[in-house]
Amino acid sequence: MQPGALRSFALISLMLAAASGAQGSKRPAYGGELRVTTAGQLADLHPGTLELDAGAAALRLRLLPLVFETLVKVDSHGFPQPALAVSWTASSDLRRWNLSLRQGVRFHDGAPLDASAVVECLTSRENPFIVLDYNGRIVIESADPQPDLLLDLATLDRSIYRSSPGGASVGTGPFRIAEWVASQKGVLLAFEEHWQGRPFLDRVVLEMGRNLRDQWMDLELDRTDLIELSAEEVRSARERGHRILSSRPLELMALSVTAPGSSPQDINLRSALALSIDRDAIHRVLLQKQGEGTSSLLPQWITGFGFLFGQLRDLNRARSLLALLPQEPQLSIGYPARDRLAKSITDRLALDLQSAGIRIRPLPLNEPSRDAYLADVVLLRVPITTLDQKHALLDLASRLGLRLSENVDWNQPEAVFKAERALLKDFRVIPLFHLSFSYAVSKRVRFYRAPDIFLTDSLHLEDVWVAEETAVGHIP
Amino acid sequence: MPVFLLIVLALVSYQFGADLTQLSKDIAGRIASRRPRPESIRVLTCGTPGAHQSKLRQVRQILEQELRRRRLNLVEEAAALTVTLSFGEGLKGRILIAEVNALEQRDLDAKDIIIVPIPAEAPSRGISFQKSLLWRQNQPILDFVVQGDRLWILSPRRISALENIEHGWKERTGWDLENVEHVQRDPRGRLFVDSTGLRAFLPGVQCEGNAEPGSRVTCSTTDRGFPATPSDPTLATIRLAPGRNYFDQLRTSRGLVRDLPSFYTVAVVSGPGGPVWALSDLGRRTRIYNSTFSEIGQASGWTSELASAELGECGSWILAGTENGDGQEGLQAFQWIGDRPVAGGERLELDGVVTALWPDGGNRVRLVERNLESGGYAAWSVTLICVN
Amino acid sequence: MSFRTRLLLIIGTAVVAASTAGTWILLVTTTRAFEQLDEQRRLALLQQFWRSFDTQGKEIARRVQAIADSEVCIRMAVDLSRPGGDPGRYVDQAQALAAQHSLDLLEIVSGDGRIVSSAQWPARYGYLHPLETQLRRQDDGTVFLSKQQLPDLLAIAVTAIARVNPRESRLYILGGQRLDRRFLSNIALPAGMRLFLYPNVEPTFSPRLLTGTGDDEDLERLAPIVNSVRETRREYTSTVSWSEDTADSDQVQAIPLKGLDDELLAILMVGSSRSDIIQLRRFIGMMGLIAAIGGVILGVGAGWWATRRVTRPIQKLVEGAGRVSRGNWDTRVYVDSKDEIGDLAKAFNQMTDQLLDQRDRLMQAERVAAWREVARRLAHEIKNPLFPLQITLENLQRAKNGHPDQFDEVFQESTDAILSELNSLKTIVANFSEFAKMPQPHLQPADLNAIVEEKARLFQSQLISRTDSRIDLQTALETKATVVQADPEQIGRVLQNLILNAIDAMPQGGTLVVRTREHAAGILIEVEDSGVGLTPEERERVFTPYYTTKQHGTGLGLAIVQSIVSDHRGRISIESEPGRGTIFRVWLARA
Repeated sequence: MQPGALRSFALISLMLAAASGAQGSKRPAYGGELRVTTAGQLADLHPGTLELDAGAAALRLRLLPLVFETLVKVDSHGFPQPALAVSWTASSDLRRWNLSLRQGVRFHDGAPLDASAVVECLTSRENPFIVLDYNGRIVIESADPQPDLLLDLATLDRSIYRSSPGGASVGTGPFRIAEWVASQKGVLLAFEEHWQGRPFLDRVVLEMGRNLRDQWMDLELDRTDLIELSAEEVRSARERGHRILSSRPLELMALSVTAPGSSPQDINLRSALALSIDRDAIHRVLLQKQGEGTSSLLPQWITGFGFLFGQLRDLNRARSLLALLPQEPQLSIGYPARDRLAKSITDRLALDLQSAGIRIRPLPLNEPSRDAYLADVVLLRVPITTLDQKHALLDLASRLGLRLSENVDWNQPEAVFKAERALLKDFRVIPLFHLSFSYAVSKRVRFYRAPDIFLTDSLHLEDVWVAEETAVGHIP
Repeated sequence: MPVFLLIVLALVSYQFGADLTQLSKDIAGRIASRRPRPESIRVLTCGTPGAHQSKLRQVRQILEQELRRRRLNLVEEAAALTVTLSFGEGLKGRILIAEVNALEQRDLDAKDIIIVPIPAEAPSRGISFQKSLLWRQNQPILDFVVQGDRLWILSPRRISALENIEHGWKERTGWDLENVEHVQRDPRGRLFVDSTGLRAFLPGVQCEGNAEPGSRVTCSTTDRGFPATPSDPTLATIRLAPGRNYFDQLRTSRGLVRDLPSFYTVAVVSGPGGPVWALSDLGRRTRIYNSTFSEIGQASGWTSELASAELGECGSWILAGTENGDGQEGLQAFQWIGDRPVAGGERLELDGVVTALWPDGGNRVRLVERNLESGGYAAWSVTLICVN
Repeated sequence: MSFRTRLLLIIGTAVVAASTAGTWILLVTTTRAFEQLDEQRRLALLQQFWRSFDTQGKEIARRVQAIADSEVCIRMAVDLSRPGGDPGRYVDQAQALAAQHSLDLLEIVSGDGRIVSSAQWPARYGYLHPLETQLRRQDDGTVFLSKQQLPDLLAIAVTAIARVNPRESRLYILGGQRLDRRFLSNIALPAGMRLFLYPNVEPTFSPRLLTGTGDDEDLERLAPIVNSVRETRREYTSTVSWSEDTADSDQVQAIPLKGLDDELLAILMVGSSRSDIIQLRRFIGMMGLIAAIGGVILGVGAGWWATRRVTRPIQKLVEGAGRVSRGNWDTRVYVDSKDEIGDLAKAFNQMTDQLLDQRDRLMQAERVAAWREVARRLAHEIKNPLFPLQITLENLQRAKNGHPDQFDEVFQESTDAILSELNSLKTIVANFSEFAKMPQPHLQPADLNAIVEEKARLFQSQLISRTDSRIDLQTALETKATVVQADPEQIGRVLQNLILNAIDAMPQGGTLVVRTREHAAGILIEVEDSGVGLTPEERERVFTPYYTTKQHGTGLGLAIVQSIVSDHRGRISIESEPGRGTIFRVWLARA
C-alpha cells in the first residue's frame, strides 16, 4: 500500500539538472530569439481548435497561453487566481457571478480589452449560462448553480480573443503570432504592451514535427534551445549534463480495450490482463525510473488517493482467471508506430503477459486515432489537461471512451474516488503509468523565475531570456 | 459480504486535536453501525515514518477507544473486519483514509471508501525582505555583528571592529586570532558580541576577549558549542566539528541529542507541539525534527542555508535558501503550518552565493554573500517584514 | 513341343541368362564404385562444413571476447557490482554493441543469470536467461550451438560466451550468429551436391524451417529422414526422390547437430545427386537388354540352323514311323549322315523290311490257318449231312438186300432223306460259295437310318403275324444325319443277319431294339435283344464261320456280318451275359 504519506513540502517542484555554471549574478537581458523544436504538430494556435492527437494536445496546452489569456487562472493548488479578471463575487446560490476586468489590457492589435469584447468572445460558443456586459463588469447568469464556473473560465477553451478584420484571432498574451505555417513552423513576437510587461525575448521560433532523434541532434549541435524529451531519455540527458525541465506526472499512459465485451469471460480476461502487468520492471528500465506506475486515472499527487487503486502483479490469480476461459486468449496490442517508447513498452508487455498465459501480438498503428479498431487493445498516451479533478476526469473519460456518472459531488473526494473507481471497474481501461513532460534546454536559456512547469499551462517563455555568450563553468 | 473501505479525508488543520478526534469518532460510528455487527475488528496504520506516522497513531488510538466504547471487540490478530488507516495528499490538501476490509478481499470494487477533503490552510501572512549592505572585503567573512554604529567582522584569522563614519564603515581596530593554525577550506565561524565582550567560535577553537581596542583576544581549543538561536540561548547549543565545516553536536538542556546526523545548518521554529528543528545534513537534505528529535519529514528544494526568525505576531519563520532554474540562490521564508512548512511571500533574489546565514535575533538575519565575479564577500543585514 | 523348339528355347534361355548375368555384374560393380565416390564427396563436403563452422565460431568467439574486453562492458560490470548498480541503464547496450560487432545475437547477462540487455529481444531484460546454468559452466571462448528465443520464432545459433569480471564481479556476454542460409552460403558446393539445414525447433516436422542451397525442391520429402534422426538422434542415410523420375533423387546423409547438454538442435543434411548413377545404370541396363535380345535373335537363328541340321533326319524318321503306323509298311527313310542319326535311319529301314517280311508271313499263315479253319468247318458241315446220307444208303442197301418188300417204302424215305441231305449240302455249298464270293463293297454315301427303317419294316410285318412268343421290334434312330460311306446292300445284309440272330435268340419272345447313334467319327448301330445271352466262350467264337448255337442255319451269318464290317473298315463288338440279352454293336466311319 502506497502510503499517502508525506510528500515534498515545496510547492514549487523543480527538477533541474545540475546547473551548467550559470551562477553569475546577472540581470535578465532583453532581446534575442528562442528556438523551440517539438515533435507535436499544430495546424493552428487558436483557442477553439479541438486537438485529437495527444502529443498535439499537450503542445497546445503549453503554447496557447503565450498568446491567449483567460479571465481566471489556476494556481499550483488548483485554486482560481486573477488573470484578466481581477476579482469576482458570486451569489449564494452560485447562479450569478460578477467579474471585474483588469484595466489597461490590450489586444495584440491595440484594441482595449473591455467587457463587450469579453462578452462577444464568451458567447461565441455554446454555454450553460449567459454572459452580459453590465457597466463594464461581466455578469454570468445561469439557471443552475455553477460552482465550478471559475475553473471553467480558466480552461484554455475560454481564452479571450477577438477576431481581427482579416479573420485571424487576436489575443492578449505576452506574445503575438507573426507567422504560422500549419504543422511546420510558427513565429511568435514579443507583445510590447503586455499588462505584465514586455517579455524578455524578442521572438520565439517554433519548429514542429521533428522526431526525437533529430531534436536531440539539433540541441547537441546548438541549433535549437528547447526540445522535447521522451521519458526514457531524461536520465541519460541529465547524465550528459543537459539541463532538464520536467513537469510533475501529467500524462497518462494506459491500455484501452477497443471493443470491450460485457460477458463475465470478457471481464475475466481483462482482469487477468490487468493482474499480469509488471509495471515495476518497465518503470525501472524502459522509463529509466521517470514518472510513476499507476492504476488510477488521475495521478496520486493531484487526488491523494491514487494509491488506493493498487497495482500489484498477481500472476497466480491471473492464471486462475484465465483457466476459466474456453481457450487460450490471443490479443493484439496496437501502439503508435512512430513512438519508440510505446513500442518498447508494448514489446515488454507482450513478454510479461505471455508468461501469464495470454498470447500478445504487438501491432504498430500508423494513424492511431483512425486505426485503433484494428487492434484488440491500444496503448494510449493522454495528457491531463487541468489540475481540477472534475475537468481532468471528464476530459480523460471522454478521450478514453468511458462514461462518467452524472451526479458526482466534485467537492467531496470520496465522490470523486467513487466516480473514478466506477470508470475503472470493468477494466476497459487499464492505467499503466503517469509520465512527466520533459524538456531539455540549451545553455543559453535563462529563467527569470522558476518555471512552474508542473502546472498544465504554459512553458512560461515570457519569463525566459537568453544569454548572449554561452556560460563557461564546470558542473559542481 | 461486502467490504467496506472507509476513507475519511480528515481536515488536517494545525489544531490537530479537536478535528481529527471528531473524525475518528465519526469513523467509529460508521463502523459500529454496520449490519451485521462485526464480530472482531483490527485497526492498523500504514505508511512510512514521518510526521504523519505519529498522527496516524493518534488517530488509531482514538478510533480504538471509540470502538471499544461502542462495545466492539478489538483484537490484534486476524479479525472479521480490518481497518487500515493512512494519509493521502493531493493538490487540494490532505485526506485521511480508512480502508475497511471485511474479508481477505482484494477487489477494489468491493471496498467502501469515504474521502473527506482537508482544505489546506493558505498562509494568510506574507514576508518581504529588506536588505542592507554593511561591508565588503576580499577575505572571507565568517560572521558579523552590527550594533548601532559598530560592526564586527569575523574573518578566518581576524576579528575586525569597524565604525560607521560618514555613511561608511571603516576599520577601527582588529585582532588577529592566534592558535588558529590551519585555515580550512570553506571556513565557518560564529561571532557573539555583548556586554561581556566578544566570543568567536571556529571549528574546534573558541576565541574570547573584550571588545575594547587594545585588548587581547585569546583563542583556545574547545569542544563546546554555541547557542543555536540567539533569541533563546538556552534552547540548544551546537558545535562545529574540529577541522570541518559542519556541526557534529547538538545539545539541549537534557543533554546531547543522539543519533542526529552531522549538519551544515540548523534552524528552529515554534510548532504546535513545541520547537520544530530543521537540519541541513551532509547529504544536503533538510530533515525536520519535532521537539523530541524524532524525524518527522524532509524538505526538498532547499539549499543548505537555514536560519530562524521570530516575527512576533507574524509568527516564527525559517529562512531557507532555494535555487531557481539557473541555480541562482535566493532566500524564502517558510512558516510552519500544521505539519509542514508553507512559503510566505516573495523570494529574495541574491546575486552571489551564500557563504554564511546566521540568525540575528528577532526578525533579522545575517547574510554573507560571495560575489562569483569579483570573488569578494559582502555582509548583508536582512530584515524580515511581515505583510498582510 | 518339338525338339527343335525346345532346343531353341534352351539356347535362347542360355543367351538371355548369360547376358543378364553379365549386365547384373556390371551394374553392381559400377554402382558400388559410384557409391564409394559419392561417400567420399559427402565426407569432403562435411569436412568443409565443419571447417567453416570452426572458423566462423572462432570469429564469433573473438568478437564476443572483444565486446567483453571493451571499456563499455567493464564500466558496466563495475557499476553493476556496486550495491546501488542499476541494470536498467544498460538496457539498450546490447543492441548497439551487436551492431558494432556485426553479431546477429548478443545478450548481456548479470552474475545472477538475469538478462541485462538483449539485442535480439530488447524487452527481455530482467528475465532469467534460459542458458544461465550453462553460462556458468562453460569456459570463455567456448563455441557451441544454442537455441535462441526471438520474439517471433526460435532460431539456432552458433554462440560463444565471454566473461567480464573485474574483481570477481560477473557479467556474461553471450553472442552469436544465426545458423541459416547465410551460414551455409560460405561453403563451396560441388556440382550435384546439396546442403540442407533443419533447425529442430518445432515438435513436428515443418518444411518451411528448412534452409537449403537449392530452391525448388519439394522439401516435404525430407520429412522421413528428419523424423528418423529426431527419433534416434543418430546419423541416418537414405535416398530422397524429388519427383516421379527416379533419376531426380539424392542420396542424403543426415547428421544431428547437438548443443550443450546433448540436445538435438539441428540436422545437417548433405545430399549428392543420384542422377548420374541412375542414368548409368539405365544405360547399362539398356545395353544389357539389347545384348540379350540380339543374343537371343542370334542364338535362335544359329540354333535354328544348327538344329535343323540335327532335327531333319529325326523328322524324316518321325515321318517314316508315322507312315508305318498308318499301315504303309514299306516305308524307307533316307538320311545322309554318318552319325547316330544315320545309324538310326538304317535300323529303321531294317525294321520296316522285317516288318514287311513278317507281315507277309503272318498273312500267309493266317491265310493258311483261315483255309484250314474253313476246311475244317466245311468238312464238319459236309460231314453232318454225309453221315445221314450214308446211313440212308446203307438202309437202302439193307432194304434191297434184306427186306425187298419194304424196299419201296424205304426207297422213298431214303430218297427223301437223301435229297434233303443233298439240299443241305447244296445249301452249305451255296452258303459257302456265297461267303466265298462275297463281293467288294461299293462304297457310296448311304443313309443308315434309312436302311434300318427299311429292314425294320420288313421284319415288322413278319413279326406282327406271330401270335405267340411275340417280339416287340423298336427303333431308336439318331436324329442327325447318319450318312456313311458304305455299300447299302451289304449293310442291309448285316442288319438283316443281326436281326435274324436276335429273333433266333428269343424263342419265347421279347424286345428287339435297333438303334443308330453318332459315335466318335462315325455311326454306331446297335441291335439289342432280350434273349438268352451268350457265355464268354460263345462270344469268342460267334463270328467264326459255321459256328452256331442254333439248331438251324449255317453259322455263317455272323461271319458274313464280320466280313462286311471288316470290308467297310468298321468294327463290330458284342456285349452279352447269359440270361441278359445281347447287344451287337457295329461302328462305321462317316462318309
